Amino acid sequence: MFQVRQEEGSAELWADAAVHAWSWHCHGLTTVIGPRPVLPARWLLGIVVRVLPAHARDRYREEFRTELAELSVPAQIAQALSLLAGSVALRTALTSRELPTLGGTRRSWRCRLGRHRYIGRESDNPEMRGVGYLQCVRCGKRKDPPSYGVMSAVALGRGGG
Amino acid sequence: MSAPPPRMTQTTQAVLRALLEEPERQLYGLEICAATGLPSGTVHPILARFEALGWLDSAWEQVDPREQGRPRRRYYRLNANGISMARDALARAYETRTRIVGRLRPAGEAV
Repeated sequence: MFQVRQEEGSAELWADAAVHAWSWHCHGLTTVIGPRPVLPARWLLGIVVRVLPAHARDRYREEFRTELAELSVPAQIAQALSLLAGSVALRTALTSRELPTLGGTRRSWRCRLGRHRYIGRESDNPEMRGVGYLQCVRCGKRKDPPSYGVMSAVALGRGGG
Repeated sequence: MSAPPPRMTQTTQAVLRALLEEPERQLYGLEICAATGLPSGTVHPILARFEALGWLDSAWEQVDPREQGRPRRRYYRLNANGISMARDALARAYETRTRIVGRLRPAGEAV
């Protein structure tokens, strides 16, 4: 049974692990030395790696296999399940590396619900002097003021909603 | 255009604190998991985001796997920019938390 390897006093733990140690192939290219994860963990890891973008698969396959191989069998399964649960988040993190501008700024939850906080602004165009517009102070969304009637306090931003 | 700063969730803060404890020391995934008490599935996406931001450097361990009797590990370490950015981000997160807790406390209660 594998144990979590510690830097101190690892000899006896590795003596135990050495029973299961052999050379194994990583993606058919590199021979990797040392203990390898148990079959269910490797199977789960295969799914995790398939979720990741193609350019990152080799790196994470090797990294995760190394980490799993240092754990006890139940811990390997637990870690592999955890990696599976986090695989979409990891994919998102790796994909946003290629498109860093897509992250954008976070919109307030109130703006997402259509609860903007508008304030009246003066138009920059000199020809439109006197004709203002409304802009949300949180997300910057613009809105034309009502063409007739009285603008409500909420619309002017005094209501805080 | 640079990527936006990450959301400073409790897990993100825990990973940053683990990396900042000894900034010059390299840590691999399992060590970060042990230091934070978080599973790999939570830690690795956070590490990937910090790598994307350029705060974190990672590299394969420079050892001979045959001599070590185990496959090589991937080590992570905050770079100089990452150390200052991480400290700023943690300080901002702490300020925000203090402000929110201050608002939630009843008026007149000592902070």
